[in-house]
Amino acid sequence: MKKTIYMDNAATSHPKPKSVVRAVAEAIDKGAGNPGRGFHRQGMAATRIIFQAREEIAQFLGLPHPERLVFTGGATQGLNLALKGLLRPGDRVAISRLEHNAVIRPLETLKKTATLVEYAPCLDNATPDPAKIPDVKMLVTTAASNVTGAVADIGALAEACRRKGPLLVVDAAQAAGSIPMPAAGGVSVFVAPGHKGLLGPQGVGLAWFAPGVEPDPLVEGGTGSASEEPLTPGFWPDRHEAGTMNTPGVAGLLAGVRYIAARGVESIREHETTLCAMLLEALGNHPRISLYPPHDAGRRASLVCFNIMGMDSAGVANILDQNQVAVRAGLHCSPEAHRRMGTFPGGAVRVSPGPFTTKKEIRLFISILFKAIAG
Amino acid sequence: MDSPVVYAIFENTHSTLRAEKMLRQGGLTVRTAMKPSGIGAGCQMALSLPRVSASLAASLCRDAGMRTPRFFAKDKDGAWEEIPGDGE
Repeated sequence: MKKTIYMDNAATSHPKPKSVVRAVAEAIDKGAGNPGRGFHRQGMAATRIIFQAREEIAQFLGLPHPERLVFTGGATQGLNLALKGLLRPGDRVAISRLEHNAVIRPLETLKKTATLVEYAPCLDNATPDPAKIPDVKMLVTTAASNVTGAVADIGALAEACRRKGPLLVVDAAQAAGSIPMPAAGGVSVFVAPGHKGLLGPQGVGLAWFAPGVEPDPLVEGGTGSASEEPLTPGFWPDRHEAGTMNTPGVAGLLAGVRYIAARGVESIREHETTLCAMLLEALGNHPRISLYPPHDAGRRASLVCFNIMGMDSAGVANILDQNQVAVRAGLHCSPEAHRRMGTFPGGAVRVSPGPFTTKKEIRLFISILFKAIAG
Repeated sequence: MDSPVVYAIFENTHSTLRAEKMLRQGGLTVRTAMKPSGIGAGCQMALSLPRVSASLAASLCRDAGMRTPRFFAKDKDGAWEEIPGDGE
């Protein structure tokens, strides 16, 4: 059986570094206990894994006050915490035109309790315009679109929001670990999944809140602390980590971050940009393939969406799957981005190289795709 | 007679481990320990340290922007009592 060319890293990264696999296995196999719940060796081992991960990952991402970084089940849970925990009836929130359903759907629910949702004035790439920050309580933006690949200027937005007042909530699902983000610590809320660019396992993510940004907890219960109190403690990170944590997942995430730190985000970015440039050039020269802006690989995340004239996107993905190429077709949980791109409701085929994708695999993918088009 | 060891109690495990790291970097001898029964406050985990180091530990915590822990030592009857952060 041929080896699969995995080109769906925007959905979840694969393969993972061997160190990630080992870290997850060791956390399970060596009996990590319940973090913060017992002083025996296993409990302490788990507690130290969580502590070390929080410290190192916050430092890696440039987020001060590591205790304000909470581990979640993924970016979706972190975004729900930010939106449902911070917005109140009557609050106005502005979003970009590129948001994922992890933002859209919680906001649709909040609309029922009188939260007012609007689109922020945007730049040509549909990310919010730092020069036109609306008068709202919160501005939510993806750091990089999972459909168009457009990259938001988080530094400029953070600065503009500081001046104008709104909280800036950043969904870094397609950026964390893949695109250098020196301004991450200047935002109000930073959310990322563990299993994409950060190369950890699925089922773990993180949400960081700047000092003074105090969401209500999304989930309440045992924290291993202040057990005599009936209410959820007010201190971080316990306030937002009720219930037993995903210690193997966090251990794997830490290993992923250590891998990236050793290799360098800039190095990964350069590698993936090179691969995307190869894709854009080859696909852009085919008469039956439609590509969507931005066309400069250096201005987009590591993904390329395309359609083939006369072919359904899901059909293309199926043909590629039969040829051991993994891509994702459809709307990618981001219907508004596809409307903006002119590909709603049919969607598009998305190919997303990762840190372990090779140039040879890109060439092979192009060859298989062109053969499929030729029928 | 006073115990030569005091227990520093923080609000949670994150603060305890952060303090452990920071105090060791500051040259203090500390170790994590299960909080003795009889001390009701705070986290189940504690840091034990020589009583003479309590004042410096409190000072280092304050300098690091951490909330000062509560210190407990045994009184003359063997019961745990809270002592001031200056270790006296």
